[in-house]
Amino acid sequence: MNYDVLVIGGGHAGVEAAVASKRIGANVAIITFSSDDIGVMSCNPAMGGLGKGHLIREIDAMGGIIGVASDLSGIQFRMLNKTRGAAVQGPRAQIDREKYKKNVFNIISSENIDIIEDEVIDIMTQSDKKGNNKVNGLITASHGKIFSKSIILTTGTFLSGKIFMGDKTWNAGRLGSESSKKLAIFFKKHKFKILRLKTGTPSRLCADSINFKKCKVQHGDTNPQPFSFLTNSITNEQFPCHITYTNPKTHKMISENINKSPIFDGSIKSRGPRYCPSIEDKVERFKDKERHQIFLEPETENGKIIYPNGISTSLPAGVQLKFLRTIQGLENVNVKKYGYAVEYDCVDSQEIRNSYESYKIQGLFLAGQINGTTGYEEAASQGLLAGINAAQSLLGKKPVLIERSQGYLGVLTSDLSRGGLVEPYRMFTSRAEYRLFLRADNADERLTDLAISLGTAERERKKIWNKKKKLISKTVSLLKRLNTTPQVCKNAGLKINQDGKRRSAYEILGYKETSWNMLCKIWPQINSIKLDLNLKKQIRTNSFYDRYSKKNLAEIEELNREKSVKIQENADFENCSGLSNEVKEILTRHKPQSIGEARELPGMTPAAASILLRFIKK
Amino acid sequence: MNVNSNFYLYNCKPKLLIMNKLSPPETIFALSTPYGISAIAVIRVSGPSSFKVGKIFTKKKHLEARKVYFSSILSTKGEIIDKGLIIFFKSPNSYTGEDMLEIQTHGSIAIINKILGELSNIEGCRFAQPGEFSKRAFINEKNDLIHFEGLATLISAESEMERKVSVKQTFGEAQNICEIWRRTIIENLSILEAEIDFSDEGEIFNFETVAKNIKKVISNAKKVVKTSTIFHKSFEGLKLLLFGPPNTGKSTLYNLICQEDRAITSPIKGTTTDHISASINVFGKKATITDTAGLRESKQSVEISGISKTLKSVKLFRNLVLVLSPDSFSIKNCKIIMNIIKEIDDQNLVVVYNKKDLNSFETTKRRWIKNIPILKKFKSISISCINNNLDSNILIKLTQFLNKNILSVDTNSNEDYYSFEAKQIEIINEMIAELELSLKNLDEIEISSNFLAKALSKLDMLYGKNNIEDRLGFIFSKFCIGK
Repeated sequence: MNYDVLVIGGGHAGVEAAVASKRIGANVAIITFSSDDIGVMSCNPAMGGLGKGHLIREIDAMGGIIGVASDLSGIQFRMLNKTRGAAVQGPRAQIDREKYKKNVFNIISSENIDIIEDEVIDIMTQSDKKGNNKVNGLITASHGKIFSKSIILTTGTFLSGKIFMGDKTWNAGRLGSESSKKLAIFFKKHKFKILRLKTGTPSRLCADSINFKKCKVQHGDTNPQPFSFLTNSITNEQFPCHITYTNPKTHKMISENINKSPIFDGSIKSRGPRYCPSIEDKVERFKDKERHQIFLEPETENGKIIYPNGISTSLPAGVQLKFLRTIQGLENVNVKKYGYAVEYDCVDSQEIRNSYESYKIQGLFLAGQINGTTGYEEAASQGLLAGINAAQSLLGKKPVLIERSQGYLGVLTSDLSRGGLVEPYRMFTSRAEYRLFLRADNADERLTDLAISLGTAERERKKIWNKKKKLISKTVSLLKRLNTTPQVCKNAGLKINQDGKRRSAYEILGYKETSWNMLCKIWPQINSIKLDLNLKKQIRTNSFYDRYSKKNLAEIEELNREKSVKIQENADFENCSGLSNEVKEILTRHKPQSIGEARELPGMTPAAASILLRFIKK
Repeated sequence: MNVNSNFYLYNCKPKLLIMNKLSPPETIFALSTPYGISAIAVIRVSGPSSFKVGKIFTKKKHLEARKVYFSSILSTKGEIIDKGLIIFFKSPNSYTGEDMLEIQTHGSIAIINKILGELSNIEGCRFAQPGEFSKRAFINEKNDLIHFEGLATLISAESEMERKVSVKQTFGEAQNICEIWRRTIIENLSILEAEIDFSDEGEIFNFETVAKNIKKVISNAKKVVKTSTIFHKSFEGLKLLLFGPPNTGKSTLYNLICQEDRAITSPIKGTTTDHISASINVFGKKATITDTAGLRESKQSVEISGISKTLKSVKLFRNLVLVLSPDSFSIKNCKIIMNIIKEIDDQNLVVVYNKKDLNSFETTKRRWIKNIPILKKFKSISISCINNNLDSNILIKLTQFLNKNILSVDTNSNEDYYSFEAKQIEIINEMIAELELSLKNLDEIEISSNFLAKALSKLDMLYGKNNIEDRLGFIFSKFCIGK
């Protein structure tokens, strides 16, 4: 068998990688233990949120599938920070995980991507004349050798995974799945730097044993906003979540049994995410907090299983049941599956380029949790970019790099390339310097043209975006042409600084108190613009943030100028006197193409950067 | 602070040499010895025009590299400025690796000023930025000369040293205060960020405290800027402005003060062409004295334009000397002076009652004070400049008076001040501006946090933690490595 691109793993990174490569023209197969694992949501039954929702919109704008699949499977949509500015609004939805799996599977099938159910035993590599390692294919347990020049590894937490529940431990990636130990040996053989991380999950509860009447109801938005730019509206039936709280009794129960938790008895040494602490952590670290919030989230439409978000734990099963039953509404709760902590290996993301290709082995791409991230959205983002770049490299094209100023996808990539994570990496809006510009609402404006040029955008997306782009640019250019004095604005009922400065209709539209109707009062010709509400809102939002992000954009330019000093492809860093051997090694390994890139490399010091500058000047 | 960085403040926008490597570098010059009176002063020139400069100053047809010439140093007009040593270094065998010229003269402020002035008028020459010689040496691989390894360690020392380098004028406290601001900004930024990224998780964030904390940093930073600026002005050298109605003898006074030592007097035309300035040395303190020439020229009446010009100057100078004389008394002049004094904010003012030799002196002095009551508030001295040949004590008396009442006021009271350099003050001011915008937009937290983050990055510039290019530039400009 022979493929252009082989994707190992069918999780959120894997499916995006496969689809992206396929759309660019590669012949692609996904290799997974079981086709039932395609599109599995292994942790909480929700997509999006702050930062994460931004990522989904961006992946969607790039032609990815996570947005469409979520829209088809969402059972409760909520726009977080609805009352705040557009830049910090994040779309989020509860997802029916069964539906989600089905929808992803359907998309993969419709894209004509092969699914091979098998276990990968080894990755075949060969050295070229220069001694560079290249991938050659895979060895599988039942299909034997499968050849390919590009392999995208998206094996999630399956690398040397070890599960902890009380004093019990066993090897596995996820409850009920085997751990890919054999791939771990591969990484060891090629001396990849490995980090060990930890995460956890709460128990799953039987809905029929919960008294929801004793909990607070949380409904979704009355007007649910879809993730995908392709989705017109959400038609799925919407379901509520419920909120309940822990109490002093719960805390007492947990404290008394704290020494039975592997996190506290020393069995787990790796660090879990600070932003997602286990209930043991919460109780121990915030002793004076009287209660902690728990979201009771339905895992599926039928609502039989409830995911209690906020109380991940690795306490023994008996203790879990006891503390759960102290919680209001859960007095008689039955547990379907108990919570656990999982420790797993990931590759230090210093090992991968910005294209997600490994430095050590040409043609080997890594994406998703294997690079130390957490979350479906973070995984999907990397899968998309790895898929694009795997296909690009087969075509002999340059890797596609998204800048930090261009999208959260760029923020994620550049953060990862620094490597040395100490906790699983999760996206937050605060990681983005240009947050005001990188909004969920304008992801298509930022990225869809790129997707079209790469070939990852579907025909439908192309059509929708081109139409939208035309409308926006036509409207904005008209609004920018029209201008007036503050006096006229004042007469139209607008509070505006009476500074005598003429302002364009576009600028005025961005003021908080302005509405499209007010503009029509001043310029009746605006009435003739036929736009749907969303588009009108979008243009207003753009105008509002333009005021603040103009300065940011100037900064971005400045930064790009400074970064642009090029380093020759064949630069011999060994001969650069004054550099420490460590830095020489970093440069030789990473082969930066510009001073900007070199400066971003982990382990580079300012002094080293200036020595390098002097060196390349020769 | 040396003269080099003074000019830096006024003349030079920092440029990144490496970015301009395609265009031939400009020729730079600077005084390498302390600015002041000393046995020898060394002025260095580096860049492609060095040879030309050598020929202009010596009027020699050729200068052999690495040969010491004892020569008259001539101005472009051919007048002798001084006699001294001139050495030409041919690239790459020089400190910077470029063509260089070293001029050794007598250590007189007048001579130094004259030569620096001449140099700045030569095409293609400009004052060096602080650290620019070292930076050029560095980029041109003069490793052996600047002990490269040591330099690299010094620059790469991430925390402690770097702070010491970039926050140069730290008297201990300045650094602490930056750290307090930094911590406060980070803390409050985190609150906003948490509100944005974790709005769903049931925590309640207190924005009132955020506002209070930001306000505190703003007022604190403003205070620091103010005190630093005052300190800075006095550190740069004291500036005196003589003003008053026509015919009060300002010019005579000016000449008297400057005449004392012709050698240290070198009138350089300032940026405002109407004024004449000279450097003087008062009991070891460097000072500049400026005569308001606008008033000097219009001898008959005080024209409106003249007044407004003087008014403008009065605002610019920190130290003012009002010169009055009996024969210039008029109600009109009293009004004009009243108006000018009204404009005086936190400046120092002293009054010199000149022409004590005139019979009407005491009566008119009383009339001046009667018509301008506020004059009583200021320290004054009564002198006569006319017969200064007879009374040699007059100059000593006058300089003592100025020293005690003006020149010492600034410096003495500044011991407790945090002192930042001008470039740093500029950054702090930018930080304050961002903080104010953050505060103003607090009801839209994404906008507010955007400004707060910018304020933080300004502060990072101060520490040199943000952009590596900035950081390098900062270190090189603030720390004359390899001197």
